[in-house]
Amino acid sequence: MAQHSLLFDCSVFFARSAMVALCVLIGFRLFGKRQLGQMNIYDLAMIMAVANAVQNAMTAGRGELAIGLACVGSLLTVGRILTTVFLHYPKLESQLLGTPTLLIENGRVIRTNIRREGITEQQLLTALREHGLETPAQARLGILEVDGSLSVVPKDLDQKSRA
Amino acid sequence: MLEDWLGQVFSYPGGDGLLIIAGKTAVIYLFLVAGLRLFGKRELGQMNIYDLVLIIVLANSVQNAMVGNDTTLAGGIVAAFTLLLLNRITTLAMARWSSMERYLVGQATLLSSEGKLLPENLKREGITPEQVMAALREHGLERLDQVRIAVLEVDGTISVVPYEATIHRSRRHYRALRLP
Repeated sequence: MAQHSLLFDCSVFFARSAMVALCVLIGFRLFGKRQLGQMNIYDLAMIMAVANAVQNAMTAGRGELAIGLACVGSLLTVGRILTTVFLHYPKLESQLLGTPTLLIENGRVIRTNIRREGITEQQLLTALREHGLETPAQARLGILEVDGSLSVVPKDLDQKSRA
Repeated sequence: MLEDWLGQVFSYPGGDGLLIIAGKTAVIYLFLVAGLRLFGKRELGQMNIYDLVLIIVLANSVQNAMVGNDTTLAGGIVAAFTLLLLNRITTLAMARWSSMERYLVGQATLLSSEGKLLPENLKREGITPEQVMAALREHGLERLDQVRIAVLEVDGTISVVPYEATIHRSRRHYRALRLP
């Protein structure tokens, strides 16, 4: 392989890191970015393993300080650009990050949405109990937010005590 | 020059290198899930800093087994997508088969029902009555007879459903602040 200037190398690794960042972002969007709020230990291990799996793709095993800095700079730049773009184009953000999903409406569980989002019965009941409710029938709304947390809006009080 | 640059940026392993990386990564993922299941602690809420360190070191230790000394862009991305795909499949499978969820992440346990503690369940989960009372007080309740049910969730928190619903706690996840 021909010898290149440091600037050439840095630009190569800058571009590689940016590609990796974009691919990983797309990957998380495709494969259930939504579960961040309900992460279990397997998800955490998976995220750590992903970070390690792409390490060589970014640095190609090269340990020079300048190349490391180029990679870090690239990742931070991508993050900053995305933040700025999302601020100016909120529509793009909702497309990329997804929109909230309705899981319970007027006490009725919407099964198709639950299945599509990979929410378990137990996770739904846990969210209800954390809001002081016992069954889906007591909730007016149950929504899976884009950050993966489950919001619950109870029916009003007198209705609840009858339920 | 430009061709050279592009070649170095969009590098990929030759032959069936990608398939090998995907296969090795899949084996690693299955091994990680099995290992973490044996490890015992199954939810983040129960983890302390040493568990976290262990997970980080674990992820580091499998790096070479996944991508080996492959230093191409495509190789790393294939490994990452394999992990994400398998994780998604696991999540969907847990949503579909509750027995699999019970086995991998455990089950919520009833601690108190209709104002009475359930001593057997408390004992099995290693929860003291005092801890249950602390959870009640966090919800602004004083006595057990104000509580319809108290449940130890799989993430290690105790949730409390009072007879009169006056308290609505949210899960404490907030979106990070945005840059201006």
